[in-house]
Amino acid sequence: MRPFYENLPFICIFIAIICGVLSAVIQDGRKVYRLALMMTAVIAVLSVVLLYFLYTEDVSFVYSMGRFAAPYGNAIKAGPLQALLATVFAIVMGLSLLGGGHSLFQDILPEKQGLYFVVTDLLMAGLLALVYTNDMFTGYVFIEITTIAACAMVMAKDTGPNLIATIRYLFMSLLGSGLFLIGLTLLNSVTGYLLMEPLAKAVAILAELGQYQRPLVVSIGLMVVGLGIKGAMFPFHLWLPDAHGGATTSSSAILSGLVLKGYIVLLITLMTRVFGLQLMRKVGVSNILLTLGLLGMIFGSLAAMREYHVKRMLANSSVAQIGYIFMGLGLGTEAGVAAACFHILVHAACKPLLFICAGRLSTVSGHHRSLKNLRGSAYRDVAAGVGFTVGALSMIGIPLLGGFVSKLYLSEAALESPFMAVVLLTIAASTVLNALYYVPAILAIWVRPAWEEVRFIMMDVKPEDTRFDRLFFIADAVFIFLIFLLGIVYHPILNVIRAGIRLM
Amino acid sequence: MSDGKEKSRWRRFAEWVNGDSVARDPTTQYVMDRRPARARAPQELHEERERLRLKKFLGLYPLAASVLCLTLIAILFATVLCIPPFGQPGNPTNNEVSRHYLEYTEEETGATNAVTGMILSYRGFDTLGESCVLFLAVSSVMMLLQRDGNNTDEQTLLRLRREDAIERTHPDNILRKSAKLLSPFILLFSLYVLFNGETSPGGGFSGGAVLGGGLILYSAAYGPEQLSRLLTRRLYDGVRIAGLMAYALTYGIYIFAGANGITVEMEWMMTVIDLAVGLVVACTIYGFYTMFQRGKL
Amino acid sequence: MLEAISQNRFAVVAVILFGIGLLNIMLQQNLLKKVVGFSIMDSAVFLLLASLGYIEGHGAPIVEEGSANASLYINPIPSGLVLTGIVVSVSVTAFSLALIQRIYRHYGTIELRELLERAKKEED
Repeated sequence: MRPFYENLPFICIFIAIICGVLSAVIQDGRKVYRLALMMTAVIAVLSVVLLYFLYTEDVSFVYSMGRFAAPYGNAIKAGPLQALLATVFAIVMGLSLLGGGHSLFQDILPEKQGLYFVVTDLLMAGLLALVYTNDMFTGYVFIEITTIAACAMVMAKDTGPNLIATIRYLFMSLLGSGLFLIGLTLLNSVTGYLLMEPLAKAVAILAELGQYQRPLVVSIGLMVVGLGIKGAMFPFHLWLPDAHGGATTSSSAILSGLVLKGYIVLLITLMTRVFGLQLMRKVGVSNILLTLGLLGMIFGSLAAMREYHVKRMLANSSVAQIGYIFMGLGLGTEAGVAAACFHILVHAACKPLLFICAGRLSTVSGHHRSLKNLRGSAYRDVAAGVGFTVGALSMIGIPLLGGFVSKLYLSEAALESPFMAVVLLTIAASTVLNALYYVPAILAIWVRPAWEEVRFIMMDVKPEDTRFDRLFFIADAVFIFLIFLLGIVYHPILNVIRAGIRLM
Repeated sequence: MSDGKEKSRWRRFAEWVNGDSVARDPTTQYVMDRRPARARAPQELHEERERLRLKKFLGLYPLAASVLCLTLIAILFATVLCIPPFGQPGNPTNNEVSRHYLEYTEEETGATNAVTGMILSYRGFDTLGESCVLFLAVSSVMMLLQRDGNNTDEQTLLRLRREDAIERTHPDNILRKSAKLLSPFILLFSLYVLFNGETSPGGGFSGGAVLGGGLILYSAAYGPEQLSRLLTRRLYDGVRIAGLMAYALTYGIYIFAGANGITVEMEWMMTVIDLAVGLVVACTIYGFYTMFQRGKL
Repeated sequence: MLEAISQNRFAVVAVILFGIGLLNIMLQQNLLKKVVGFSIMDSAVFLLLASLGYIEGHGAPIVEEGSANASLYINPIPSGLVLTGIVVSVSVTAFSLALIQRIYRHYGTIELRELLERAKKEED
């Protein structure tokens, strides 16, 4: 009989699936909303318990799904890093649903609200499975679940441009899945295993003997490109601004904060567990990831500077932040991967905060969304203004906030790489570029404009929009607390990440 | 706007960042007046520029896309000539895992069809994920196509009413007679395929697809109204949800028992899962048909 | 090289089909034709995957009573994977077709160029 905490990952995934199925039974939108929030709370608590046990005992375990041991059956593997990521994903999803709740019930028709939460719960199940998976084909099936769920979340608000954004997102995502599957097929044809442990051994033997070099290298490349398309790596990010910018607030927050990260976590698992960082460096894929990450950092910020619609600006900024993560992975060292994981946590805490604050500021300004119509809106809802400011400062990299720590560790990891100068210069340039569009946004919301400019906006504001939104306030406060936590108490968290990567 | 000195420092700083400030001496003011300010171009110029940008993007795009695709195809072609040859027993894929499945599937899972034993027992978690994909797809299609205030207009309603009237007054005789003959056989065959998945090719997915096809044939022949009277929205939802719930709970108990070493007698598991999967697949296929055709069940 | 092609004939055909599907996806302007391209591409991948399992001279993996000898049957694993893959492919195809139907009802066209122009106008 296993110790009880080893059952927790499997229990979390099944809770998410069963809540998703139950949400289809209950017809009332509000009840299903509460069920979804309870589900994320329960999963967060269970994951924290698991993290405590795994970190104090410094161990990771393989849990066979069924009574057949590897390599015959399916399995999931959990270590400290996986438990930490699961906790953060659950907390961020719960807070995003809290913060965007008001807009959600306005944007989606009542008879379709239940279906929205079905999709949300199954998305949580998909993300948890991507974090814990120990098998390549299970990873593929849950990638598809996450893709369909993410597209359904974008199109929940069915306006015309949103439908087109959804279909572009869907096509690019399916292309990524197709490339991943054909890479997986090629890998299976030369190794014969799907479970990651035996697969890693077979790959190591092949790399040593020098057999089947071309299929091995091509399959690595195809899988990295496939996951990169879905995770908005540089040249494949064109679907992101439309999809994330147009969706309803909680959808944008969950998509930016969690869905992109789920695919990147699978990529990290592939890189560390199956292929090994040494093979990735030898083959040259690390350098490609590094280059594309650097380009993404610059071009994402350049695109964000041109946007005047606040949510599209935040979506373009996501491209730049994902560029940081790919750059960290491309450094090819364990320090780089640890820094990239820390940035995953920071971005998962900051970007949803920015989205829900932008949504709230937009609501109290009569649902206008361009920055010039949001002038002075922070005075109408101070909590949202403070939240937006904290999030933006963290993205720029001000000390005491989470973003500073992740940039610090990325730079430290870059010191050991042969491309040190280019990477450090690009981090610096990207910081400046980030400031160039976040600072005007902060100023815009905090500067009180003259009455004539604002009168036509105030005419659109309805009284129930400016009423105090308690759920939003709670979500806002917790996010701000998390960002300060990541900025001040970062050593324990980084130790957990390092232990997790060691025990991967 | 008030004079410069009366504005607070904060407002002046904000205006400086935004580029709206007033100059401090006449020369700079003159230069600033000459230079076009941040005022955006008139609407037509903006539209024209946007259209040109779109055209350039769409013109460059086919060339870049073709080059990329052809490179990828060339790389794949070169790779595929290097993988192990087709059909050889010594290939890496034919390793001890497949031998174990073939030799022990009868005694460990109770199925003689090694593929069914593999997907429902050894790698059953993938199959659960696949059923979730089906469930999600139907929910998403319902979210998109179910008739509501946003996506229906007078014309569509008129068209649907006209089609229903035509169905009632001018039934398609060939379709009706052949549906009357075939439907019982299709139903029987689908149940046979469903329950015989363990001993012959078949199983939940194939059986469910045949059942769904039979429902579509019946609906097309006799009109959707008649089938809706039997298969109401509540029954449909109930079957779909009960199927996936039964699968999830059964397989959850199986995994929990197996991972913790508790032995539970699970002979009936494969039959229950087959049935659940078959019902979910049939509902999915029939649901797609009615959603696309009429927008409601 | 011809010998290599004939040794791996199913894989080569799969790659050619994959290429045709991929070119359709990238170059076609009509959304329905893009979906057809996806179908072709997915079918090509399943062909490649299924062809990994065949062993010359062996039979279908339905184990007869008593003769559980592995050298009489083909490899069952790729067949199972293809089964899962086909179901997933059907689901996403249905989803994308539903999206296309909604887009048609909203805009009256399914050509990508026109849709992008109209979407830009609607946003402003």
